[in-house]
Amino acid sequence: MAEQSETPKPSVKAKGGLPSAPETMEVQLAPGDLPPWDLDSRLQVVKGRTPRLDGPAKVTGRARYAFDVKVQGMLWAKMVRATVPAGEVVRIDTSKAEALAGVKAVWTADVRTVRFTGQDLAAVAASSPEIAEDAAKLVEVVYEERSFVTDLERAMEVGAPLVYRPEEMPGPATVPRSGNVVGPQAPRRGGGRGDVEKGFTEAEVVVEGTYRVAVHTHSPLETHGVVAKWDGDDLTVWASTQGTFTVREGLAEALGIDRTRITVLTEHMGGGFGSKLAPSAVGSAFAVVACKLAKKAGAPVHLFLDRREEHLCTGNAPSALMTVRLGARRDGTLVAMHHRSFGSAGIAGGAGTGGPIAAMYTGCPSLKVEEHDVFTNAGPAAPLRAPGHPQGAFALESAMDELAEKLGMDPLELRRKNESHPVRRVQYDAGAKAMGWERRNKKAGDAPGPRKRGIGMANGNWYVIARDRGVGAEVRIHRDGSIEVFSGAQDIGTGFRTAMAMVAAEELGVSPADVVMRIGDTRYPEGPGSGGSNTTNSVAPAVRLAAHDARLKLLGLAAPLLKAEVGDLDAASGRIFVRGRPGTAVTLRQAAARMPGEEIRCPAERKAQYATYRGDLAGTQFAEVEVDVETGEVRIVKIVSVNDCGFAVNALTAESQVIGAMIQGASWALFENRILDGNFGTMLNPNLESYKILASKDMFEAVPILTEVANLGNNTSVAGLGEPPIVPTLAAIANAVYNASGARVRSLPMTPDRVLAALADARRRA
Amino acid sequence: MHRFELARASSLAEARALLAERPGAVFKAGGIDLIDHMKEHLLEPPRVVDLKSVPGLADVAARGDGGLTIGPLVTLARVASHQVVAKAYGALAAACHDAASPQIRNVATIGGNVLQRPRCPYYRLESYKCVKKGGDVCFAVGGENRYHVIFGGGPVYAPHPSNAAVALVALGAAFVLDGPKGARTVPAGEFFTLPSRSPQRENVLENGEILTEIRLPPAGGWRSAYAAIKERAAFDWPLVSLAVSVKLEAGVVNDARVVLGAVAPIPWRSTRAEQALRGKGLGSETIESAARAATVGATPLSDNGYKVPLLQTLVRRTLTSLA
Repeated sequence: MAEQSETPKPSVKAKGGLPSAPETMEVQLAPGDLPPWDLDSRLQVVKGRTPRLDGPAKVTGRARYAFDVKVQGMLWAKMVRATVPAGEVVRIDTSKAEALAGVKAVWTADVRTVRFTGQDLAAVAASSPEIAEDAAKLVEVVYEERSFVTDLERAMEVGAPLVYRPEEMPGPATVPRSGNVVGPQAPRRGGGRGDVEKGFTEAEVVVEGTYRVAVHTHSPLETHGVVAKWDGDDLTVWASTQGTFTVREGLAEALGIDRTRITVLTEHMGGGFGSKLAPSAVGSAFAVVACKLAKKAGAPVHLFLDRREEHLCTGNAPSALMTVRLGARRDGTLVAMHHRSFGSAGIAGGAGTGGPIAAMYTGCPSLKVEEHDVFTNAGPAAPLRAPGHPQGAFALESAMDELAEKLGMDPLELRRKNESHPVRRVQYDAGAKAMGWERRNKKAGDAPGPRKRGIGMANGNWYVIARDRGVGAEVRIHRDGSIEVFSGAQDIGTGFRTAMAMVAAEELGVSPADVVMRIGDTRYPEGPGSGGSNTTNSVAPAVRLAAHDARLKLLGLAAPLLKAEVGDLDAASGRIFVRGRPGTAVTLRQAAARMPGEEIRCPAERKAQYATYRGDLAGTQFAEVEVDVETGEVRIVKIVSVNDCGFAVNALTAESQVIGAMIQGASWALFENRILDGNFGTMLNPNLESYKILASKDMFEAVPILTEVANLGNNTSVAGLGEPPIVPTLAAIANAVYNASGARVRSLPMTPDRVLAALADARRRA
Repeated sequence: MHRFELARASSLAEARALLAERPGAVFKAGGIDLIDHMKEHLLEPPRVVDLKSVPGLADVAARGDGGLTIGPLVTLARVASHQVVAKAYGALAAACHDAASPQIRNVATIGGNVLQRPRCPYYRLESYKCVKKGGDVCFAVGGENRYHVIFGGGPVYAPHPSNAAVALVALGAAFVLDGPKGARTVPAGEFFTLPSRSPQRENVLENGEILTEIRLPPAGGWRSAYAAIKERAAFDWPLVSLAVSVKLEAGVVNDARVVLGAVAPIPWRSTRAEQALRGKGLGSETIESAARAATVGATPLSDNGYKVPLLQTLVRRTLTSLA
């Protein structure tokens, strides 16, 4: 632990930014907040590498996920889903299902208009999963079917079947709409400056490309679901969620009961990637249904979706059709950028992809961003790891590569010229070195064949998103010296549990393994939903404050024993000692034994982000691929991912997240593709056999590099990392494919048929 | 889920009797394909007759004529790693090794693999009553057909899913089928049937018949190879596959079998490519003409024309590897 003033001042100087280019900044503290950890802080635990505290439980199967929960008298529920993509429900007949022995409760939906295959219609709860499945098949649904459209580009055509009647269309009425298309809209975070048409007239070189990305489903290993149990008016819900409190609020509202009656528990969860931010799921109210069935049956209910349902109604990343036009001077200086995109989030909105172009290359004087949502008769999209950004960066960064080619310029130099923040410069150097950028083909496709190697790169961006209101934490020191840390937030898989133990351990001078973490329980202090890369940076500052308070109280207990003032004491390795005289010490345990009661409780509230924080996160990636130009097969050899995440609390799990993002991005670029049958509106690959996700044999050398930046946004200097490392991956791979083969693949996934078509196109042009 | 009884047979005769007793009963080997069918309600057998308990079906044995007999219940993993198979019947070892994932190969049997049903999504989804399931329409035509056939289609356009079968046809294997009327031996090349003859089935196996032996002829003088092109490197179905065996004498191809996979409703023998090879050395010109001959007569659907150049590349590369 660094020697810091024990009594916070409202304003302090701190050393922030890059270690290679530190900046001393004046930081305004909120009342009661601590000075931030900065480049001068001598941290013992934080920024180190701590294996996951729950790792042994997970790999031995002892970790209990919500899916694994079994309670006395529990029933099993199964949903009945629409089998047609559009129409009106004329009748739902549950009589045969209700008559089946073992069926205890039945629920039917109020909504009668069907807009996608997989929509909730009914549910049954029975004494076994097999009976529930049989009963679900006995529910008879009569539809009056309507014409429908599942394909993005067909939905844009004049005269296409309408997903919504104009008056039913979701979204603000101020945005222009026509047929199934809503837009143009500016991206959520703004965008647009200068006069873009004038910019293009001033440009000496212009490129324009149209890029397409298929729908990608989240496909977490643990499907969505809950176990719901009533005790009188009290409700306990074990949920596979990335927002325990969101589930509680959603259920309170839907069931019309007070939140105090509801406890949501998520001890471990098997992935979400954004799809588990909703109280149930974006396309299903299964959690509410489970609670209603449990109430009706007077017994606990287990309702988990199967893999098919997971694909159909729990969210996806929208498809995208994007045209990017870039104008530059001969020296590579960007003078005009135009992004016009259409995307389908199914029956939902939110398919924008203009985020990256709105946030990067900000020196370019003119920019126009036009996003359009296109409704289709398909399951609604949900945020997926940097919503819209991997798609948008694929278009923008492919176009940047095309511009570099046309200018005869090194693609990395073009980025350096137009995006030259000091953090970016450090990242370009680190990435280029780790990849060996000089090894790339100077002329695209110039490698020896037929298996040609090439290297590409791409930039990405994200934002520092922190929930700095209404987030808390509590540290308890027991009389026997044991330590507990409480946060109601869940560990989506990032290693949140371990990171919070590390923050507390840093303040208390103990090892993370000495801290017992209590998380994923709405009876504990409020935490955020894990969205926007905000969990660690929202909760860590509160944990630090609580732990700091506990530290002061422990030092206070030790002071009389050591005959010293609290201000002269320090804590490390489980001991409290007089600073400069490590021999004059007591153990934390000895100090704790002096407490008057049985425990010291130290709650804390997250303070506001400092005014000094930089709101952007930078990332850049380099990919090396091998393209078989005779078969169109693409094999990824290596990816180097360089990321700014502020201080990484746990470098080990931070790198793990970066590697996970590279894999998910590579899988998106090469394989993943939700296939809907345009004739019947059915998903043809609703499984994990033909919905293809990158598997071990396609794995590549993954090199994560964390760019240390003292963010000075809060008392821990932590920023965020869940999302940014997936943003550049798609484009970096596409650019590497171009460098290897000379083929510009503008449609994802890059399956052999598309690569062969792009190669044929390149040959025609040559 | 549908309820069924599991019956363990201790002999072929008992297995057949157990099957005959309950209309709709099915045989089970590794169970990979069967369980998929049952989970999707494509099959709802009242009884499943497990062949694993029948002795003698999981052996690999040398034959008196110098050939090899492989029992139908030998796992893909064992076939792939069997020394004699790897040495003398390289195409088969490679095809078995290339299938599915290590976990599946440890359970899936070669008999089950050869007899598995098509992987076409329209067939595999309960909601589509396609020709394969007794309906009138092949939904791949006018629907999604990127993975479908370019040869031999109609009225079904789903490719045959077994790549071990492609190798077995190329190796000149024969299947022994044991039925109520006794045993018969059918050459692998005549075992598989086109949908124009029997749209709801893929082979001549009669109800009640059991594939009891896979016989491989002596490999003397023959060399074989198998290769496939897939989207994903593992746990994926080939876009195109190929097994070739050639009999070379003094550098000249005396005889050849060229069998294309994932492009037809059966393992597709390309007699044109074979003709292009016979009597010639495996020089680049011969290989080129065989590659082109292999795709003559291909009739791609709307979205699978890419399979034509892929096949040519595969033929070219595989023959080059044998030269």
